[in-house]
Amino acid sequence: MFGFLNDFRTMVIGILLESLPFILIGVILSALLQTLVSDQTLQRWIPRRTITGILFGCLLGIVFPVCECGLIPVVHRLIRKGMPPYIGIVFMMAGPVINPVVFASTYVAFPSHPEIPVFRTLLAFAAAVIIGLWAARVRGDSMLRNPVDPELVSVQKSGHRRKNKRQHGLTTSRSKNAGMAKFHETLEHAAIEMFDVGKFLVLGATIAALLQTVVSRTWLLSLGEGDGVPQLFMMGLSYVLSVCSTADAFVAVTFSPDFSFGSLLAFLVFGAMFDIKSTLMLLKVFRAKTVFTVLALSAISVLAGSILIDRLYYG
Amino acid sequence: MKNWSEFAHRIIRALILSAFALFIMHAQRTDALVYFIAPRMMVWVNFLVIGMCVLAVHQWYLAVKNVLPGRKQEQASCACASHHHHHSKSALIAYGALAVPVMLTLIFPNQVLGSQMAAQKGLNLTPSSILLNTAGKGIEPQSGMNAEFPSNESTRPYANLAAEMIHKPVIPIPEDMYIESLTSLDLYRDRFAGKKVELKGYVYRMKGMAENQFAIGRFSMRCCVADTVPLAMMAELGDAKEWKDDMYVDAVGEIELRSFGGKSVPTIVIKSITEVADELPDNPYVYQNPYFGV
Repeated sequence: MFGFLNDFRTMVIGILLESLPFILIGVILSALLQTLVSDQTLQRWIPRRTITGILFGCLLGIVFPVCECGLIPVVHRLIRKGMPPYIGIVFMMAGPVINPVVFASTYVAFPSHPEIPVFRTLLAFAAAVIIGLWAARVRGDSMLRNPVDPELVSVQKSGHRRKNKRQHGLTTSRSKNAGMAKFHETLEHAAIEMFDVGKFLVLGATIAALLQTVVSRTWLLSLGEGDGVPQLFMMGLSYVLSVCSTADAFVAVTFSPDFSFGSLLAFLVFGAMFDIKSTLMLLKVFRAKTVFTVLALSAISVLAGSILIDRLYYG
Repeated sequence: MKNWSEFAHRIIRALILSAFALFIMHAQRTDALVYFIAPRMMVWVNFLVIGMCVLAVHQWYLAVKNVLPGRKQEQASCACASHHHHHSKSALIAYGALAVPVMLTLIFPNQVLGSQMAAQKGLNLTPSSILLNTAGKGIEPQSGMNAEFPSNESTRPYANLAAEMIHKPVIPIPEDMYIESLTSLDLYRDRFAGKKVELKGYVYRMKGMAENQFAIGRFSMRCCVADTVPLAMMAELGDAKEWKDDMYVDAVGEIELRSFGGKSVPTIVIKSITEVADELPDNPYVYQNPYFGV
């Protein structure tokens, strides 16, 4: 009993220590976006057409190479600043896979299988596009847990504008003060958001640690050896394990003698898109209905894709 | 009134952030951080500590500054839509949630993952099967540099290591080459059968082992405890029952092949074994050697 408690505690703290630095990067980026980039500037950057919007969301991870923990605050902020939610979802799904850090670590984990990182990227891309096509058809606000109130946004905007005007009027001696105010505002935002995301992270880490300490892997493996689909099994496993997408390739490798490469890919792609932590953190931003629809869509497309790769390439 | 509620929120945030940062710094000073996270992630943890300190100090500063009498009130609070709910129940939940891990770290002592976790995760007794599977083309004998240990591109470092090890009277398994040495032994297990080996590690057990069997090994880690894998070598001994789980032992014996779980598993048939409780490793986990094969 005591051994179990110790393992559990070590696991929770380990997962937290691994994720928190990236949450911190996320909340700092998010706070900087809030104070330094105006809504109008941001909206000028965002593509209007659906297809380019989805592509934009898929490739944003190359510029922001953070894993899912760091992405949540950034995505939340971008949506609040007027980015269409469907692009946010696509970014959220594709970002943790389609980024240089994850590609590199996958490449290192599978030394003489350079096709694995390529397939991983392609499969994530395909799944994200499918999700994006669905999400783009739903009216943006109905996906969010706290819809962005257009009135409030406009009040905020005009408020900002008024403030700016006043500052312009008051000569340059005040510009130093404005800089200080921005500095304070950024740090305050970051601190508040750290707690906001933190509670979901702690809950997720707790559940993941509990499952890792209570459910035995041999039992899980025996499930996988049954008549069931191994790809589906590996997806469930990656969901439960909640390993960061930059490190999960090294975990996937340990399954390689028992499982096909297609099922390893399913593990790598689905686990990066969804796990216990990220589901909870997504529920903070999006409605439960949206989160579970996206979960189902990504599960179906990853499953189909990985089975296809197994049949066609490794078969 | 609103000022005081804001004051309280900022003080709580500052307290929790400082507590977190202090715990990490304390763990760093007492070398306890290695229980949770791999050395190569330390840069990130340092960044986290600095960031949390900055945020905590800033929260203290804002809190005090805003309630000091006679000062112009700083308007640092923002009007953004998402923060309405911060001064309510959900904020308390957030503080509570982040305070729990802080409590956990303070109440319980630091301990390495144990045999229970090892059994739960399933011991890896044949580390080379991963290598073989990912190395691709297999390792057909090549008239290359080493006919005794056939290898291809990705298994060559292991072949070289095996060639080095096999001529030693007692093959050592050093701490900084733990994973690599065990992988080499397993990869060329047919050649190593009958050789003497000395292995230190924790005693683990797994379902399906006979009464005279257990395993000796360590947890290997990549980034943090979530990705640890218990790496071990099967051991055979007449009075195996005397050796309890989680003991740290130093065993010497001959390698023989046994069949376990449908696989051929290199097994150390123990000639002599001692518990070395006073020589526990500095670092509870083993890591890939970054210079291996370079």
